[in-house]
Amino acid sequence: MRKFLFVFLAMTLLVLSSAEAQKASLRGTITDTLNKQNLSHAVIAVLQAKDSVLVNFTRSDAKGHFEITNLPAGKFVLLTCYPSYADFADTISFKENEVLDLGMIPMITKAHLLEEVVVKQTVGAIRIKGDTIEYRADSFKVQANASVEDLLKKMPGMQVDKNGQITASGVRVQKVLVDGEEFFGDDPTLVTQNIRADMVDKVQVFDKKSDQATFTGIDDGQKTKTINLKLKDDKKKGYFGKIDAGAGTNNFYNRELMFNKFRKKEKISFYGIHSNTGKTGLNWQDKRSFGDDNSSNIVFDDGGNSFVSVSAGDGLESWDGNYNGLGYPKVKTAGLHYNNKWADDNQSINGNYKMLDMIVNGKSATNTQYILPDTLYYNNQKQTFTNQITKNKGNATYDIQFDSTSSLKILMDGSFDHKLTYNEYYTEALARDSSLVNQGNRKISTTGDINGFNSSFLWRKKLKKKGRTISWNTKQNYSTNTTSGFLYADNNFYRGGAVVQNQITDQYKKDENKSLAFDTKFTYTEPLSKIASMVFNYGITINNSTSNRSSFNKSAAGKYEALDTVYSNNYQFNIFSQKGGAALSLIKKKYSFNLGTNVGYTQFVQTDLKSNITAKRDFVNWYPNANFSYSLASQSRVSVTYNGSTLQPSLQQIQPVRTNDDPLNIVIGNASLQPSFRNSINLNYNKFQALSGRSIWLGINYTNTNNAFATKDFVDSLGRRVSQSINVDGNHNLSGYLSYGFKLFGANVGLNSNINSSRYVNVVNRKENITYSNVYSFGGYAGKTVEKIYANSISANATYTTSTSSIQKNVLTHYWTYNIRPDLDFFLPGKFQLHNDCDFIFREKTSVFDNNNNVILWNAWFGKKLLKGDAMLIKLSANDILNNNIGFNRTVNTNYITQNTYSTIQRYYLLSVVWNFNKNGPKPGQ
Amino acid sequence: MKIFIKLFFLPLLITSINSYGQQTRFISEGKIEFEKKLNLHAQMTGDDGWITEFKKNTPQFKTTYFELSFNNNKTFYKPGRENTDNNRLWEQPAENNIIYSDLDNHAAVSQKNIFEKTFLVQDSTRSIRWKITDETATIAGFECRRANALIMDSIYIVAYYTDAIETPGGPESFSGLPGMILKLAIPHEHVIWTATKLYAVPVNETEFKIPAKGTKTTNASLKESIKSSLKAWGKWGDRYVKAALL
Repeated sequence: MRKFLFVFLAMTLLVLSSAEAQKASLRGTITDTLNKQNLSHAVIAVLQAKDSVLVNFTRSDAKGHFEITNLPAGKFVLLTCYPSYADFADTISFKENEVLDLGMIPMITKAHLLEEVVVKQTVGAIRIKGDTIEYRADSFKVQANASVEDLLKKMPGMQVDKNGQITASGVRVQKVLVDGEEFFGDDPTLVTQNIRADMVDKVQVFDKKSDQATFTGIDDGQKTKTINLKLKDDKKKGYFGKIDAGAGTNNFYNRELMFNKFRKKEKISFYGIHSNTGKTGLNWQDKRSFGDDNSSNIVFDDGGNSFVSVSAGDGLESWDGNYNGLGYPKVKTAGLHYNNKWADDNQSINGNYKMLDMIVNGKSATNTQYILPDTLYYNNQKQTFTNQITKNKGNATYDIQFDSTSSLKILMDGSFDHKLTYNEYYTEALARDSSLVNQGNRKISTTGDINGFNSSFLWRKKLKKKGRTISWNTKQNYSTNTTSGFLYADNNFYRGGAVVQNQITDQYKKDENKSLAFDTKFTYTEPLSKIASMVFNYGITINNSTSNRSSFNKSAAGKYEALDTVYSNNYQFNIFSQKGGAALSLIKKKYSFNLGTNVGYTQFVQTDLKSNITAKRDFVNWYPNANFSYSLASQSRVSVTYNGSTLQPSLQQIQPVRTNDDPLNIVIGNASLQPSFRNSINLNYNKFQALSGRSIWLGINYTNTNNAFATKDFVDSLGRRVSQSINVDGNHNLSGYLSYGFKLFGANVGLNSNINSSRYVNVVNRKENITYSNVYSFGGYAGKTVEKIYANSISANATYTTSTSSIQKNVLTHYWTYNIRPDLDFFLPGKFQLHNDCDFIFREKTSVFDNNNNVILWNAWFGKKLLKGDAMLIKLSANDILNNNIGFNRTVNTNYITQNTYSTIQRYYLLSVVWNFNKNGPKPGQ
Repeated sequence: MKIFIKLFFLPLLITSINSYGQQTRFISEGKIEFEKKLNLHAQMTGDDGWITEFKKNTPQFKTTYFELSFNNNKTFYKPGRENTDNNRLWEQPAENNIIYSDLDNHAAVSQKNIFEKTFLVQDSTRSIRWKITDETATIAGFECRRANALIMDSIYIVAYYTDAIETPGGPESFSGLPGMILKLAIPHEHVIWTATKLYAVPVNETEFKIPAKGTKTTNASLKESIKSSLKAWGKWGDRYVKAALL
């Protein structure tokens, strides 16, 4: 016991308003009247009478005396407390300079009164689930705006005293939770937010086991009477949507309609787009509001990091989906989305249906330089194309959480695509001296149907020991692809300027591919300690596929009846593999570590279904991986990852048949192709300083592949190429990036560089060819946004590409590409906005590609926002103002370099009206 | 006033009186372990699939431990035992604070890790207008009284303090009640500190290692600098600014 007296003068500052003179003081003695003893250490607190705010406090000294000085004049409450004694409270008031002596302040010990519990029965409103009693809040009538306490008072078996203390079934409630979180009633004089009785859905009363018991599953008998208030789902109900209608010059149009209706947790939405401006689906923001938000793509790793695996699209969005700038598209697309959650969010369903109808037509020109050991060829091709696709795709996900330890997820999707293509080609091949080697015309028309059905289920269970889990994942994939069509090719071959040979191919082709795959995998996690665990897994994969390719030559009667056995084959490729392994993982605060491997046994059964000749091959495959990640400081981390993976050859690469879709480029399958194995090592370092805005990202990747898939080409003296997949060793690739971001005069500035260096092996005219390619890229970025005034940014980069082939070391390819991209937005008074973006692309000519490919692509729009909440936008946009756009693609492959130019959308002006409408929905633009 | 004041002059209590009286022990030095619980799920508002997935893969509460040593009117608050479950979770700003408070002189020195920087805040203790209520609860075996307050203009806090501990301190920067704060909740920020253990051991003031590392600042200038750095971060920026200043 210490003789201590503390006086808090600071508090008096807070009540300056109530008095000028502060000389009043208060004294007295605390005494236990029954025991006739003065009490030391008692708390004497002075509170403001009007709102109970603490003004000052002290403790009584060893003799029970106390004194509080420097008190303002006014009305107060004196509160005297002593452990195990009843509080003493009294109203007091001071005049200026008054010294108030309260004399003896009597204190008395308190005892607990066991109040009698009255239990009444109300049928229907109460349910008993195991140890839990559940009250339905709606069944108990309370006044509007009544508090939760008022509601509890109405419930049978429940009592609330005037201190707010709740008693349930005669036992004092020690914990009140709201949706699982501890609840503190709000002080209405301090905060306006409050939980009202009408927000409560259910009141659950149960005996909460101690955390230890919950953790170990062993009941230690310690229980706490607990009330959990389950709040109602947001009472939200409404809709929102968007209409975008635009018409432009040169018959350009873009029409979009999106609508979303929601009610509690149920959401139904649809969209439709009709456009020829290149729009084929929802953009990212609209997708979250009106489509499937792809949340099933989120992956959480052991370190608690989340990744979004943005898939390359669900097929609808690349040509076989998205218009990628090649040609002129006409698109009709629509989608329907539904999701709902019920049973306390323990069950949910998510369904989507999408359709797309797209016609793309256009022209393209391709120039290729082939490097051969003894010579070069130049190949020029002109193409006209009209392609049409109709796609239908539906998918559904059902999720159920059985209890806090187990869950099941079922996914299903199906698709039906119908595709029509028509292509016309003119080709010519020139020798090194520009003399004609061959020349030809080719037409291909095809009709195809591609159908697929996939399903999977994932069951997960947490076992009693913390960290011990088991899961079972099974997947099934089924797909068919039936394509039929006509090929007509007429090629002339020259020597010394004269035709030496003419070849006409006139065939009807029919290809049927079928594939059925099953994959099942068990995973078991065993915790070794609080920070270490082992993961074991075992799985089986079966993948059976067949490919029946038939080519029929035109008979004298003009019918396609005679099977051309050179280009026909019916083949089955079955893969059976089983794989198992273990991995150790360790997660510490500073670092995490992961090491493991799977080993697999794979069997190939390859059958020529016509001759019934079967070949069997067995492989042992390894799948090792290791990962080490270390955090150097807050917001700075370095990690090293090693991954070894096995790639299986595809049926197309294996099927021993000649494909003559282009008789000048014949592809032959290789039935003895082996799986390839890839080693990949990654080093990453990143540092992000949130306060200074500085960041560094560094990454280095090295990959080397054994038994890599490569091509073996043979080009004859008439310029005809035959190629086949083979296995090669010695392919490797090294790439790195470095980026540094910082703030400069309030702008975000970034510098970045990328390098990529690779060594690829292939075989050209029976000679091994090693191609060394290097790409170096350097760039910068600067952007500044001043809210409601402007948002401007500019980025620029320069790329240098080189390539050499060992078969002709004197043929060097190297060129620079420069790109500058300003993006300017100005927010003008009167809710006007002006946007400009520009893309300056300068491509250095090379000895082979000497035409001008520089482009300045300038787009702009000017708009005004109207209506309440800026719900409407009227916008005039201009695409490619300089009418300068060209489709362009340049690629450097092993022993050939290709440049492709194609027709693409150029200048047009579009006037559009965008209207965001909503009822109780999110504000537009959010 | 009306809500207050109850004196139980109940004659039947006399029997128990001898067991109380002056034998009540008052504590003026010792160590308290606080368990801090932050509701990670409540920070994620909204109902789309991303948030649902996040909640499924992240525990609802992040639990950390702190140790508050006190000797009369001096307190020393520092991170306590490690919780290995948190190795998988992101580090939040200002969640490893070390705070030395001299309550008599209203002075405090706080060392806070906020993103990449360590700050040393040398300022007065937080002055809080506590509203005393008559609600009570038992925390770590101590009978506590509830007090409510608003801090930083808008943040509603709830504290439970016991007058059996004489030091008028508490976790983080919370103090100023006539006893030790054993539970502090910021309900709308979804964070609670609760005392789970009290060690009534002698504590020597020399054990209080006044933090000295970090960029020297005051609460006002810390607020300015974080606010300007995080102004583009929307509601998360506001949340981090609040967390940094608690």
